[in-house]
Amino acid sequence: MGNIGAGNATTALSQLLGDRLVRMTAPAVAILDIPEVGAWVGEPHLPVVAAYVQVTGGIEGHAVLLLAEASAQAILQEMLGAWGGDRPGLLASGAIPLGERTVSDLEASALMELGNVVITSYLNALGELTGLVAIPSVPSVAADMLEAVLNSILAEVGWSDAGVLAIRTHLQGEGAAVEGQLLFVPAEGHLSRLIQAMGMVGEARS
Amino acid sequence: MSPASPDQATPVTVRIGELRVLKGRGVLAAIGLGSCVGVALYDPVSRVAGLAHIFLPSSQNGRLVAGAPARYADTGVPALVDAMVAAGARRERLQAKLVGGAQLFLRGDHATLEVGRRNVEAVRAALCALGIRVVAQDVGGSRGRTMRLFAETGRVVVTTLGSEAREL
Repeated sequence: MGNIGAGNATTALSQLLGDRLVRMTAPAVAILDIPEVGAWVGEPHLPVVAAYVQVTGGIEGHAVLLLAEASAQAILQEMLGAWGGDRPGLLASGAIPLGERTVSDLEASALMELGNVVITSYLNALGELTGLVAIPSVPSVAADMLEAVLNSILAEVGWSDAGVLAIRTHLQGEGAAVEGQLLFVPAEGHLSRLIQAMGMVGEARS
Repeated sequence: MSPASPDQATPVTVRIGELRVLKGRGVLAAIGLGSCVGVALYDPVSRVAGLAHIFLPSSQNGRLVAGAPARYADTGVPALVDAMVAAGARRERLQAKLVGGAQLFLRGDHATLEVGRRNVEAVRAALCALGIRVVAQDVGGSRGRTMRLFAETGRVVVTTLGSEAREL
C-alpha cells in the first residue's frame, strides 16, 4: 500500500522533470532506535539536499525528501534552466551550500516547491488509502552531510523508547539524474493507527 | 607493522545519546552533529578523555536513561563527569570543548527548529553548574560537523563538508 503513495510522489517528480520517467523501489519499513536511523538511510557523510515538512492532521509525523547533491543540481537545472544562476542567495542568515557554491534564492524556493510537490503527493495518496487527512507544513531546506540532516530532523521527532517507525522509498530517474529517498516518520501516537490503516507490518524489533 | 599513531587509530564512534571515556590513548568521534552537541572533556594530567553526544536539552524528569546516558544535556553532562572521575580524572582539572548545535534547515515555518541553540545553552549551563570551563568551541551556524577527540593530547579536530579540518 505504501507503494501507491510512493507512486504518486514519483509521478509528481516525473512531471516536474518534464515527464522523464522516475522509478521507485518498494518501500522499506523498519522500527528503529534513534541512533540506528542514520545508518539505515545511508552513509553518514554523504552530501544530500533535504526538504523537510512537519505533518499534522489525521496522520501526524515528519516527512523528508532526500536527494543526492548531484541529483539536486540536475533537478534544479531541469526546473530553472538558465534562470537558476549562480548568484549567492540573499538569505544571508543561513546560506545553503551546494557543491562549491551556495544556492540562489530562486533555487532555494525551487527546492522548497520540489519538496512540497513530492511530499504532498505522497501524503495525499496515504490519505486516500487511510481516510486520514495529512497536512504538510511549508518545507524547510538544508544541504549537508546525511547524518547531520537526519539527526536535526530526529531531534524534532524527540525520543521514543518504543523506537521510531521509518518508511523509506528510493527514487531513481533515467540514468543517474535522480537519486533520492523519501522518509516518513509518523508521530508516536499515530504509529499504530497508520500501520493498521495501511495493512503493513513493520520489521519486528529484535 | 609499527603501532598506529594517534591520528591513524580507528576512532571509537560515540552515537547519539552515548558517552565514552578513554585514558591516555585512542580517539573518540561523534559523526554528523547537526543540532546535536558533542561535549569533549579532558583532564590534561591524568589524560582521561570523555565525549558525550547530546541529542536534546532537557530530560524534564531529571532521570538518567540506561543505555543512553547522554541523551539529554542536563543529565548527560554530569554523567560524563562521573564516568571520567571513575576513570581517574579530577573534576577541577576538566576542560570542555563544544562542537555542534547548528541549525541546518532554512526557512519554512518551523519555529521549533532551534534545538541546536537550546542544546548549546543547556550544555553550557550544566558545565557551569559543575564549575567546568569551556576552553574552545565550534558551535551554532548552519553546518553539520564531525568531531574527533584525541585522548593522548585532548586535541579536538572538526570537519565539515567541503572545508579543511580545523583544530580546537
